Amino acid sequence: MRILLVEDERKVSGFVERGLTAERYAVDVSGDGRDGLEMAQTYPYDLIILDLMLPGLDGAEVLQRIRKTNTCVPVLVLTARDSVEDKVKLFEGGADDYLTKPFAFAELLVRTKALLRRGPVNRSSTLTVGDLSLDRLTQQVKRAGRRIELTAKEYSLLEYLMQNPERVLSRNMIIEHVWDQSFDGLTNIVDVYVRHLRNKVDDPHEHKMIRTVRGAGYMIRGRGEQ
Amino acid sequence: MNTSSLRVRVTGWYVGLLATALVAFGAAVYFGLQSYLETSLQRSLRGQAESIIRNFVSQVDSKGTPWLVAEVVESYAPESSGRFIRISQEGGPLLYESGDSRDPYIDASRVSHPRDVSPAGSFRDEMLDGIHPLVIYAVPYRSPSGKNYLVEVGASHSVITRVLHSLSVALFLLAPVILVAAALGGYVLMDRPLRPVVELTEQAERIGTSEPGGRLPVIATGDELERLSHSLNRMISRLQEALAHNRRFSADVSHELRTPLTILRGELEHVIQLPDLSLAVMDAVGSSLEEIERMSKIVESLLAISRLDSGADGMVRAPVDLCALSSSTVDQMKLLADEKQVSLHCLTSEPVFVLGDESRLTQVLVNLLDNALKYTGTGGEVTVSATSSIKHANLEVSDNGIGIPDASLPYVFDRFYRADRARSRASGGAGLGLSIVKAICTAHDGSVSVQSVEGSSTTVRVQLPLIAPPEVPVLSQRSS
Repeated sequence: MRILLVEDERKVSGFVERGLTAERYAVDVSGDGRDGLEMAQTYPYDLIILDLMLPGLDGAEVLQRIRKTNTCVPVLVLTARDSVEDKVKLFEGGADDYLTKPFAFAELLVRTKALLRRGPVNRSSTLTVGDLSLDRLTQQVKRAGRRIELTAKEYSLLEYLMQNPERVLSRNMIIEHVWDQSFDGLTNIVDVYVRHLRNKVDDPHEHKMIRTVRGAGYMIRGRGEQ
Repeated sequence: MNTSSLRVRVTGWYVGLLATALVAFGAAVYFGLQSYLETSLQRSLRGQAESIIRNFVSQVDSKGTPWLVAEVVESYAPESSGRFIRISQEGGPLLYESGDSRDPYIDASRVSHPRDVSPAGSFRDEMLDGIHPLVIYAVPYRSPSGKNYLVEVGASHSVITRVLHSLSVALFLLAPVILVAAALGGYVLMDRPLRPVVELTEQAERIGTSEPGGRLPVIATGDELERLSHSLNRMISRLQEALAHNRRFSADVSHELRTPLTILRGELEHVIQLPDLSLAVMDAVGSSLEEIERMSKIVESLLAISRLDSGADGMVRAPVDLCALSSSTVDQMKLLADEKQVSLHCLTSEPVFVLGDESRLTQVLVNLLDNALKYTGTGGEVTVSATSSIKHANLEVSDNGIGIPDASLPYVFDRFYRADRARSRASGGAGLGLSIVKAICTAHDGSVSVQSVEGSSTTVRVQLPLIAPPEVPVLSQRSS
């Protein structure tokens, strides 16, 4: 998988490149709009990560020109602006997703993966992590064959975690998925729900699947890894 | 009548000044007239005495006293002169004496006889019978034959007294009339020049902070008030500029902070993933990441507030039922309340519709509930209610928690304000939650107010314009 990163802030492109490379993606970096556009039009990228504020050629302009020639490459936009109009404009301009700075790298990664597998999306009806399984049709959750009763919110939270196993999900990402942005300021609500979920999912078992990554968020991990 | 109003005060000053002027004027007229009348009376008495001496007494040696008396009677008949005249010879008989039988009556026989009279002549005052004041001029004459004569001429003082009396009566009667007329006239006249001030005041009340174009009407009178309205308008411009600058500043700062925050976060997230980190490093990096998260939140909130303040944030306005919104939000936050063992109720009945951005309004309730839960102890109670009055939809969140000190109440909606710094920092607030609530309410043409009794309760009330329920039932887009 080859990703083009167009970002003029060298330090930002630095850690994004490092992180994506560690995830075994091939990453090309361009620090200039004109240059980035040229690369986007030359090579068949699987994903383009585009900053909006660029020297040379504005990010929105780059996006527009990319869309003129290549309509299917997914584009993830990085922006420091996040008003509603800006977002609407972005999607109208052909962006597939956007991230507002400052973002967590984990979030960038989750969105990147989501965009890259957009073709054949894994919408299988059962999610499995370790000995934990979640059936999306019957909304039944079982661990080691024993049924676990969850509330609606706990279910959504677990489903989101299990969709991204081994990935750190920030409280922000969880709030946006399971609640909505209105609950933004309220990160402790995530902690409370995760605690409840743990009581039900992990308490009777020796292996604790739901982990806290300090400063970053939560992740779910099956047995055996580390 | 408002006694501190400019109109009343100016009229008061004006009347006061006029009264002082009238008193001064009256006194000047009174004393001036008195002194003039007295001087002219004295001059006339002296003139008469001198003319009696010159015309008659000086010839008494040659023509004899009977001639003198006859001449004086003829020239100065008491009936026509109204004077007291007495001519006497020292050590000799009284040659002539006459008074006035009319009013003011002068009984000449009762007028005293002076002892020493200065050769140049002198005046004296005398009170006849205790009620008739007299002014008398006495002058001696020594005839060539060596006889000493004394000529006295007097007049009643009551003529002057009467004139002065009627003058003062006139002044005392007229002055109050003048003053009352001046007060009324002044009060009415002040209305015209002050009307623009009233207009300015009314208009100034209407100018808000969000509309940048709000200006006062310019009063084209060419006077001080026109200058005032121009100055006020310039001041408003400067204020609005400062306000806009302030907003721009916090927007710019938040904006500029985002890139460094992104980098900090990205680098630290990378570090924390490195293998073989010591626990201490993990802890330090984790703690730094938490602080970056908090700072990012502050930056986002500040940006949101400045966008709401400047009205630039594109809100999606649709009919929203505050009752449905309350119960769904309360449901979603129930667990937080359970965690603290606080009972959380939602009192709703009839749907209450407002026109607004559902997600923003949810944010209002979330922030208010978050605060209420934060400051309510175990066993406490938090209640949400949505009600409607004639024109307003009211959303109330009340708790029986620690309350807010009176001194802090006016500031709770200010950015970064915290009633109790230590406590709220520990509970993770940045002091922006209520500012966001206020900004959202203002953007919805509503208001938010807080009432609190320290140590026992707090109620925050959001008031929004009520709208009629939409004909097609609105389904909440929220999945809870």
